[in-house]
Amino acid sequence: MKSNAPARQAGARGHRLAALLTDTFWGRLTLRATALAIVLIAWQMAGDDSVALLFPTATRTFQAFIELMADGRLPLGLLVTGQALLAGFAIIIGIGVPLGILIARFPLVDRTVSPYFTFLVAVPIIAIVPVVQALLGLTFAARVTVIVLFGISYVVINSAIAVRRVKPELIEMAASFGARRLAILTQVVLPAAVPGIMTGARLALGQALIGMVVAELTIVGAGVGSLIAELQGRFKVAAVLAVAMTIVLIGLCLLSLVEMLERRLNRWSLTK
Amino acid sequence: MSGLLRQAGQWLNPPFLISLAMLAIVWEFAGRSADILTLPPLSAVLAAFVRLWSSGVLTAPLLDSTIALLTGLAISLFVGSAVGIAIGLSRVADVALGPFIKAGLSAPMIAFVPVFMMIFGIGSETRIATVIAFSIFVVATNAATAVRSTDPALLEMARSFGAGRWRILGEIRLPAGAPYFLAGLRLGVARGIKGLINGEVLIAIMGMGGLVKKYGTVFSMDQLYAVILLIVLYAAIWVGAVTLLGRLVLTERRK
Repeated sequence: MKSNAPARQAGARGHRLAALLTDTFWGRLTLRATALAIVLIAWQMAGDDSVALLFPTATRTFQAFIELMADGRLPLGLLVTGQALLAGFAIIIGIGVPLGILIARFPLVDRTVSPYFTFLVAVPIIAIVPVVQALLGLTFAARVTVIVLFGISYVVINSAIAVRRVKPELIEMAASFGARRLAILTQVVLPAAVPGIMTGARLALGQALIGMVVAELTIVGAGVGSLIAELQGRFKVAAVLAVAMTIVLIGLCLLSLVEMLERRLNRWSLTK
Repeated sequence: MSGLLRQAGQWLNPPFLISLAMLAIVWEFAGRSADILTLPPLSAVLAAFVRLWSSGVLTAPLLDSTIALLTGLAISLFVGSAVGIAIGLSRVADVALGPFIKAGLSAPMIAFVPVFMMIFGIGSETRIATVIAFSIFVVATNAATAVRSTDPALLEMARSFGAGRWRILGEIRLPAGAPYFLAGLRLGVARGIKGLINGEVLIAIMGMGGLVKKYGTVFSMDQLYAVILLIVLYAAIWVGAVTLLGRLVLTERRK
């Protein structure tokens, strides 16, 4: 038994270190910074800059990013692409939420319309893109349509579920106090359904971002899609990777923004 | 079984079928009367589907795509589960790797497809990489949840009987987490198929996605719609099959 003691002591020390790393703010920060550093170093070592077509190192990618930012092509492309995303997301929310509410309130609408949206969730939308392109051409409208197709079903389905889950007692109570249907909808049902609707909005944003990239790459316009196509044509892997990482990081920022809003509104919904 | 019936009920209800039939009729007449290039009548699309299917043009791409999908999914399941189990078991791994997994789960990974294309070339590796990028994070997330979801009382009991870490993992945590693993499999397959088709359309010369690109570029609309129909059926059959498999495994276990 005695020979075991040092080992057990070391084990206990290991546990304490692990607890320090995972349970305190600075410990977590250190651990995450280390993990990020390891990833970056591994990337740097996996990269090979001798030939332009090989997987680029982190530094070469960052250089390419700086160049693209400095000559203004990346910001411009992102601006143009962002317009399509903004328009698409506005349409997704503007049509998706009311449609979800209709589905929740009227069984006939639910039965008629819902299957189409379940279908849209299951299907690889990119397969429909050539149809959109044939109908609308290489236009802004075509790109917005692709984004809407990617995201809208998540908002519709989640809004419908959220509205359906509102406690009937709440509605009955409001009705017994003589509230009109519209008042019940805007003052009772919607506030209670906001968290679910926001979840749908977050999922839809994630899909809309995918749709944005798909639209850019297939229905080439003036945005990052044409930038990628051009860089690809000149075999600049580092630059393409830099653009891709920029898109991904911006996407993640937007998603965390919506997630923050979601949490805020959750609290607001509880106090209502 | 009731779940299955309910699911079928969503599709086989009269209002939906009526709306579908009306849509089909409008499509057919619009396609026939207005001689629009982009909208062939429904009957022409179905005819094209039958023609393509029986001529065997679809068989090779279908097989080709399936092999790429299975390869990518196998790697995703293996690596994703391993990483997920590590995250579920160790707080340190969770804190260190968690942010990357979460980021990968929601980030538009499709932005990397052009990079894959340049590094791996216009070959099967690019598709497989896309399938992995789309599916691995959801598998890892569900594997982590699966290992964490074990009843603490069971763990306590196993420990008091002197079971080691690995026996606890193999005999208690993994079986108890089966529903989450299956959910991960289902979501992974659903996402993997999207990744496959996305990759193929962007690569433009391989598999079913390549056919979409091919017929789309030459405005051969009836054939384009037929291939889209095939892809939709393909995705639906896969997801349906995996869902069914999950239900069977779970009911078998409950007995």
